[in-house]
Amino acid sequence: MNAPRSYSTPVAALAGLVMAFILLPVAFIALYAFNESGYLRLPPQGLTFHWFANFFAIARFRAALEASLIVSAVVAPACLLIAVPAALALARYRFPGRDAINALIMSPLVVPGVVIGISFLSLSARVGTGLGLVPIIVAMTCFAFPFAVRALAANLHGLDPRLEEAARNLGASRFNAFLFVTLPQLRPGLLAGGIFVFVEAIDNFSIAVFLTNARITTLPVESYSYIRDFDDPTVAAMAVLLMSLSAVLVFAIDRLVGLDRFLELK
Amino acid sequence: MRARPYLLLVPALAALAIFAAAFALFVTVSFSTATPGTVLTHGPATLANYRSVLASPLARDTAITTLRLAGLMTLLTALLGYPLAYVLARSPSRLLRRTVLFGLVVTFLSGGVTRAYAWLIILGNKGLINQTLVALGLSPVKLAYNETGVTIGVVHFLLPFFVLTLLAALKNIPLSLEEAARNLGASRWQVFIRVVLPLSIPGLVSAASLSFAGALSAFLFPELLGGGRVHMASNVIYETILTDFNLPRVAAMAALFLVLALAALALLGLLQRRSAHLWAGAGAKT
Amino acid sequence: MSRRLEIDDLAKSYAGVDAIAGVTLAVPAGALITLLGPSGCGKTTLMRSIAGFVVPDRGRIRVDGKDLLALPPEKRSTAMLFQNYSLFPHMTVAANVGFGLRMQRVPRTEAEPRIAEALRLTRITELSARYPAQLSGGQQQRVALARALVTRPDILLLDEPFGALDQTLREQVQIELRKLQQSLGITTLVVTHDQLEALTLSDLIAVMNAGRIEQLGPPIEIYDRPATAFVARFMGVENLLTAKLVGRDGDRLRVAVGALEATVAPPVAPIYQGPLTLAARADAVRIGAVDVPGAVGARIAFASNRGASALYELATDDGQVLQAAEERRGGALRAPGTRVGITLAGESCSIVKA
Repeated sequence: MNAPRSYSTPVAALAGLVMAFILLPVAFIALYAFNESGYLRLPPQGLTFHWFANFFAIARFRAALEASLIVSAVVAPACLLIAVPAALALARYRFPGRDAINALIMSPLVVPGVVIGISFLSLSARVGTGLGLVPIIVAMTCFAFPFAVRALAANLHGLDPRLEEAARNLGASRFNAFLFVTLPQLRPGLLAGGIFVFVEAIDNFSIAVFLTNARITTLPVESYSYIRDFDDPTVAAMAVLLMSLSAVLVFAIDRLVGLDRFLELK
Repeated sequence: MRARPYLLLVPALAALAIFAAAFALFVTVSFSTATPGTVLTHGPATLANYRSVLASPLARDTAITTLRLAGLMTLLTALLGYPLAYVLARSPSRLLRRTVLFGLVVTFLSGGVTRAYAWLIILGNKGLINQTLVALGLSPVKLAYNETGVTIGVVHFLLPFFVLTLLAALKNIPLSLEEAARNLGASRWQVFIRVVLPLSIPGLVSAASLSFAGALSAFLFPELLGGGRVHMASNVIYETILTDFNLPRVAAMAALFLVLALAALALLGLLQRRSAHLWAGAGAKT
Repeated sequence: MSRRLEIDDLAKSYAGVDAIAGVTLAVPAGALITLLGPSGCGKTTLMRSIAGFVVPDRGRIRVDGKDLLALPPEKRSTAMLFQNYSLFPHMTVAANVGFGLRMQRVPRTEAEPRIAEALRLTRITELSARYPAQLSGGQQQRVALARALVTRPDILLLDEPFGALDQTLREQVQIELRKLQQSLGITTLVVTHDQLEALTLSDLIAVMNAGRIEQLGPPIEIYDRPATAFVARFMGVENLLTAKLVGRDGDRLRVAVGALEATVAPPVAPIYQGPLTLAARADAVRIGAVDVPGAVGARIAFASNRGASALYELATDDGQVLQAAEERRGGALRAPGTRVGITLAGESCSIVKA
């Protein structure tokens, strides 16, 4: 006999409905992206890759995709480089001001995106860099590195500090103990933090919209303006591409560190 | 030796310093005066921007709308998210748990623009739902370009955050406690009300705070799904900067919004800290 | 080669509370010493000071006269067996064992036979390709021991080494470890709160309390002749009784506990004033007939079975409560309520410092 479940059938059904609600747009946009007509009709008609081709045919989309990939590819490693030492300091040392610094480091996470956007707009106007990739990269790094700190600190808290002591006891210098013992065990945190920052940077709209201009845009900003002007599934095709990317990432996470482990480090 | 943690923090503190500099600058701007026809500003320091923002009915309405909608969105997210998180925490089927988790994380990582756009096509005036209604001979309903559409979109955006945060807390409630309560004669409902719900309060509060923070700063969803008719703080600020490029006034609006957001979040943070130790003495790990 | 370990007036306090308050200790080369005491007595702080993970406030630690405190942990050659073993989860057994040699940049050609030797000594050769998570607790302990021994350390430190093993395995591993330690002649320091473990393993036991060494001596001396009430209680002495000096018999002392009298050896450390405390194991309280000369009348209040012997709680006629053990010799327990006469065997008692 099965163990009695903790929840009743109606509760399970409600949960199922909520899950359907969560998946509905994802499923729907996938249908729409392959829909032959630019105008939506149910059931979907035909099957076409036209909108994917269209996405890549539009120069502004290609440029925006490239810009977004450059931004994310710079921001993710930059955030990890900042976050690894910071997480080590916060998780491994007790020092005066630790709690205050921790709160300070996490503070960008509670500031609304629009406020961050305007701040960095003011900054780039003052410094004279103008708009474009550099201010976007700087702003995204300053805004997103706390995600990486959080993931790595959670990872470090889960590690046994005595392993480092064991390594020192066996003759490893402080640096070798970090390199051979701690760093290999930080792989889940590096992966989780890196992916989180990468996705945050590639998807960010509220900061980027203030720092882009007519010449340089990022993917979310460009799709937003496309949606305002056109009514066809080109953006749905882009969405399918992004969702496929995230599905691949989730598979990779699951294979490399396990989904459960990843969520603990979220 | 003693300096080591501070040295390790140098890169992070440098990033924070840039952040703080940007902030300080925008606060300074909020006290200056716009030079008409340019993006430039000039002194002397003045409270005029704040006075004018605070005096405008738009600002007051926006603050109220933002808080009201954020509260509603958080409530709906919690009501929908709790059962899903609970079933996910307690389902005996590993396959089901993994599949749902997979769906949640993919949705979670698939980004805001994608999802806002999807809702636009589903809820739009000629969207999926209205086409179905018309095909069935019913009259179409207005789901997008109003608060309903924005609320649906934001709740959908927040649900994965909420469920994944609450899930972590629910998994820490030992199943044996539920079994003990059942063994002592409690029904499933009583177990939930008397055991699970009270023990999950710290997790619930932190998941709800996270959702509330997300709802408060919602920007893309009201922008796309609100069609200019739903005035949440971020949109009003953005639209002001687009229409009358008065950076000092916009900076003052943003500063006031930040104060409002931080005050609301500080209140929630207080609640969170109070609830975090709620059952600490009772031996339950939450 | 065996090394001599000397600790001189070592002290460490945390936030004004002494973890170790001036400990002086000399461990002869090749000996195994146990630091025995309850949690919070300072034994772990002392061990971690030797390994270099705690920086003491004052004092010295020397190995063969060489000052250890000037060295970082990795240069001390004080291999430690951690309480939870602290095996590196991302390395195989062989890589774990070889880690110390890798850090010393020992060439592979020399390292491999040494790793194999350590695995052979601890009898885990067949586990070399496994990861720690695939091992049982006993196997993990062997890996940790092999990892500590392979670097040929000056001093071996064992932190509660058998705490995680079940009872039968524990006894077997204790004896094995003792044999290995004696054959390698490696000076070893063990931290434990288990008195039986200390008695089984040690050349010397240092009983610690509140940051100090209460008594230092060979196991038999600690067991038979505790110096303080704390040591007596920790070594499982059932009766700690207030006694009065009533006379002398050569260098031995005649003491009275209520109406009970006994002749006992003088205390390990002289006691100059106040009432005396007599530590009497339950088997020093002899049970006999009511009318034995010199016996004090008592009633059996409670009886419990200890296997080969029985343990009785006695209420004496002069109002004392005593624990007494008696060989059963195949018989039944004495019934509660029975009246008996009791005497005290002085040779099994010690006078201790309160």
